[in-house]
Amino acid sequence: MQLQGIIASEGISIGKLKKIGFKKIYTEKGSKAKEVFSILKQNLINKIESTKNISKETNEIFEIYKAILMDPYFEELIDKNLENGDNLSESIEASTVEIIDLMSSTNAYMKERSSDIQRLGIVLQNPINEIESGKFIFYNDSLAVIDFLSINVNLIEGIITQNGSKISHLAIWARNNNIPYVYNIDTTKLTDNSDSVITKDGKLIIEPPAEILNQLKEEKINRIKIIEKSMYFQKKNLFYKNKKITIAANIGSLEDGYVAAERKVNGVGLFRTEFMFLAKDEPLSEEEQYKIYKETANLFNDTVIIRTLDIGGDKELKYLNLEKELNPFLGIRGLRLSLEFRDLFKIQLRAILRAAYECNNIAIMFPMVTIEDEIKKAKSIIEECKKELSRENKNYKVPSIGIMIEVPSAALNADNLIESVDFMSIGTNDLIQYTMAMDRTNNKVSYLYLPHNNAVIKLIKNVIDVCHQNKKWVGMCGSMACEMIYYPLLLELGLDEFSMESSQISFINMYHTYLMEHNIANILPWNEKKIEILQNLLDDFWIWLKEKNFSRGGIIS
Amino acid sequence: MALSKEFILLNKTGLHARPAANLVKTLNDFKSTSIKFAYNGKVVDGKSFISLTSLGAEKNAKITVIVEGPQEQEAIKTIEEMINNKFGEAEE
Repeated sequence: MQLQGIIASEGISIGKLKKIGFKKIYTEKGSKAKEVFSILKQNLINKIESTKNISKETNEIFEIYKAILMDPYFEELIDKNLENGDNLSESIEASTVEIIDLMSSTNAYMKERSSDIQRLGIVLQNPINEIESGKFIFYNDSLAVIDFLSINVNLIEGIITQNGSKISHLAIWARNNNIPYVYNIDTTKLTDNSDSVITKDGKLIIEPPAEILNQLKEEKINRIKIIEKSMYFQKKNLFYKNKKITIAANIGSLEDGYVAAERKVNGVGLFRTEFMFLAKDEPLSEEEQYKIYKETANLFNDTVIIRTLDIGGDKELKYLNLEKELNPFLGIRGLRLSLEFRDLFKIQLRAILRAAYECNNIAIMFPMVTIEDEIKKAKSIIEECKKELSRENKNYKVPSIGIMIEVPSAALNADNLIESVDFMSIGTNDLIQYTMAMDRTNNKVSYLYLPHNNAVIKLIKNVIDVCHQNKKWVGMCGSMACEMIYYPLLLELGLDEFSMESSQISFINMYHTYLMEHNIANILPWNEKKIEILQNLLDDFWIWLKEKNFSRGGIIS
Repeated sequence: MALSKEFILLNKTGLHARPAANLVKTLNDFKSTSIKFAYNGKVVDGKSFISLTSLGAEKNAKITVIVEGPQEQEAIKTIEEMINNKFGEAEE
């Protein structure tokens, strides 16, 4: 059996399934219940305080649990519910629900704390989760860090839940401890003690065939080695030829933003706003968007680039009732669609303009721009939004405006487009698809996905050169930006910013450090036969990485 | 006579779980001093973690602190230091 989940903490687990965190019922009422409650509470506080050898992050989570347990308001709620006739278990449940309601009314981050509080109520009544020796993949419909209070971290092979989130404490804790954690799995289908694996793309496979198991075992060993080493390469400022190189994150939601911020990424090179729209059956309101943009921008010190809706092509929004197109990748998509659905576009622009007033690190970016006239039209809609907002006495600011370069004609014509914008970001997935005339959803032509092809590199080089001649910066937010093999080439070409999934950043950081100590000459002028040079550089890097030993201070030998 | 002072939250995530837990832990030392936090029309007990986080005060939020009791001055000073210190939140 194979179940696909959502990854909260990436990795590979191999072990037996085990359910933890059972409910226990206390039927005491009235003053007897109050007595039992204070004993349970004290027991749990003692247990938390006696937990040793915990990391700084775990300690912070435990401080929060203690703060809730010792909060006079928690006791008030318990008493109130007991007086209403609840038994102790009912009172604890009702009280935690009330606390959750109170806290959920605020931002998304606080909302995620609700699972912690719900689990706190359950663990309060049943703190014992002792397990015999052995490594397990623990599961239940919901779990929180507190469920693992009495389990040695080294015995936790993986975690599976039905309900979850990338920014729950459990997710943060799992990432800090390199414990794979996948949620959105139907846990009612699981039984204890079955041999299972979690794959790095978020699948739970029960009773996997021997060949898959062996392959995963090997992958897991290599992964652990790399993770151990990558830890020493975070948080560094990168320079190349005396120029600062920006490494930013691609995010698709506020949750992703929290994950990136936790990984100490300084900024966002691409906030794919359409993901939030795709997740709902109706468009997001201006207010909803405004809050999300503001909360996201506040997480970072550097620029957060909000890309306006990139719908069409392979991404559809049902409520727009778009006509079926014969050739959707060449049809109404990206900015073309926004210009067609002005009302939807205006709501998003208004939200961004308002958020930009509060957060000076916001930038705006239009996708799929082909000709200058499209930028002019988009800007005139921004002017309309400004007038409306002034009339409504709402604060706004127009942030810096950039465009994605994904269309070959736009790349060739960059000198014409640059005057209208503050920066450019190269979207390589589409740029390669259009340049090579290869449908990126068709496996049979995937051999034509060649980022290093002379034609593609010529286009990229032109965009970079034009931006620099005009004293503007240029980034890249497509997959090519995190494919390590191309990194030295893009550095040499002069790219200023690389934006990628935040999980990839430590690898690029490591490679950058390596490249600074090694010669990367002879790459330019580019010729696709030189891919061999890039391949050799990367191969040498992996060998170097295996042989070196690292300490917190850097390289030992 | 109660003492009150306005503060702007400087740390990235405002009064979220970790700063609030920190704050409550420190403010519990001022046993006989009443400490209230006001924001957006709500006034809550500064020694209650649940109430503090329920304010939903984010970065740049302007909050008012009202203290009353024997250690008023000290309490205000401590809160001011914690806010200016961004609750010890790392920010680079």
